[in-house]
Amino acid sequence: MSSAITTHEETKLLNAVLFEKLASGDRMMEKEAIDAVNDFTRIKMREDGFFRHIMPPIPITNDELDRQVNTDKPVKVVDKEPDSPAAISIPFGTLPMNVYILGPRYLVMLDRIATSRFTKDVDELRTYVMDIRQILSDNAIKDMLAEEDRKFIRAVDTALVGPGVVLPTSGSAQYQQIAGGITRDTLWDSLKVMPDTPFSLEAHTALTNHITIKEIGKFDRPEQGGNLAEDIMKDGISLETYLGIRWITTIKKNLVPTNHVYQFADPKFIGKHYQLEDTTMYIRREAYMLEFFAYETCGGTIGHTGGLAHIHFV
Amino acid sequence: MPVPRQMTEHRLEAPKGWPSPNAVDYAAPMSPAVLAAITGGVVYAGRCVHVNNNGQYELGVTGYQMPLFLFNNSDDPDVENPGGDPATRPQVWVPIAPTGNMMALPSAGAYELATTEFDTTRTYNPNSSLYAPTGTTLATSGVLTNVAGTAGTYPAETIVGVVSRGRTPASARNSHGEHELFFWPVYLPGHTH
Repeated sequence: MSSAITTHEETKLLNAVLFEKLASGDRMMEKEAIDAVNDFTRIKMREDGFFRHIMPPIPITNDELDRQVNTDKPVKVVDKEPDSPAAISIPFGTLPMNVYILGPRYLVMLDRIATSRFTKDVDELRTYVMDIRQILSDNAIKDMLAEEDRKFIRAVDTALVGPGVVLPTSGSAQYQQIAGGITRDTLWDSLKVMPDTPFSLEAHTALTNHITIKEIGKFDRPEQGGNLAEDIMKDGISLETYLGIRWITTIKKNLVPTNHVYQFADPKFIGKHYQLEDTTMYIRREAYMLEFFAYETCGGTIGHTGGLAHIHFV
Repeated sequence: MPVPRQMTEHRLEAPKGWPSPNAVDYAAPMSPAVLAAITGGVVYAGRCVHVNNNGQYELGVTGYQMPLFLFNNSDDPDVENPGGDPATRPQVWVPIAPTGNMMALPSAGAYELATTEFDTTRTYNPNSSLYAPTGTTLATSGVLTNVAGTAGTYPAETIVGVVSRGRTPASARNSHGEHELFFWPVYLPGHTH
């Protein structure tokens, strides 16, 4: 049952049941209450946060982890598809040159993201009419997703180095500044950056902020084409697909600055994002004090920087 | 190929008082300047550090700096996952995690610790004062000793710990075959220099 469609009466009933279980002192009932909060938290975690939309998490089990000599920390080694030299035309009577195959690999390290440890007097919780699950999990979710997204953008920025910098991996600059602001032409020009590398990958997803996306709303009928300009003028921008790619709009302007657009290839061309332990809410009641925090164990690596692009419209 | 380092070679142990949900543990990254300057480019678990004005660890303690004891090596996979420099190398990988933070236990906490990072040539009696010289010298910086710190002995230099169980160079090693010094972390800042 989604919190968005529950009525006030349903919320009160839900709270009463949850509170009764938390206050019961019965381990089984407490576990049921914690499970209810966990289900709610996990659904919300899947709905929000752009990192999870760009590189969806892949569940990983203990059996799939790779052991290392120098550590007992969870690690996964991933094979990359090896590049091969180009085929060449040769005359009759000769053989091709030898190539001994070596496949590159990369390491995905899993670490833990945890929220602050929140505390609350259970009697104060009685005064809330909003969903208790929401009170417990809202801040936690916001904090954890912010950390996931921050780490992801930091890695992308590291991979693309800086505007105009030619990367040794692709031989081209994948972070480009495009002059002329956001227009029909410059938007299409931005979609040339990623394919214009030896890997010829196409952008699959674009990430921008909620200020930048409004520039698209300014396109008039000739620039927008068809009735879309009218629809946007009437209804605002609710585009999920534009220019043939998926758009994600974020309010995190500190991570995705205005007039910047990040582009990503299909997730399978970027790298891996593993989830060893799904978001879990730890809840403990000691007398009348409730303490809770959320944590998850996950990790990701950008294995192929050719699947990234960053455009700054200036 | 260098011999792989065993995870038991350099470590901090907390025989008493940790882990605890109420422990005042701390997390921060190691100063890149320290990693660039120290031989081998690695700072080992068990070393004594302080936090600089940039919120990064530096080796050793002097003056009013709060001593902290590293729980991680700076090259542990949950601290770093170096895949190469994208600006200079092709086919690199770029980790999304981890972020470089290392856990450390400060002297502000109540626990007994044991470290492999101390001057093993010295004899340590119970109640001996411990110092941790500053700098980026692999052999001595952040390594506990009962001789003196960078600025001498207390009250000129900070005492970072007090030996809890005496040992000599001939004392038995721990179950992993490593020398280990047991101590209570304390904070007695040096203040006369």
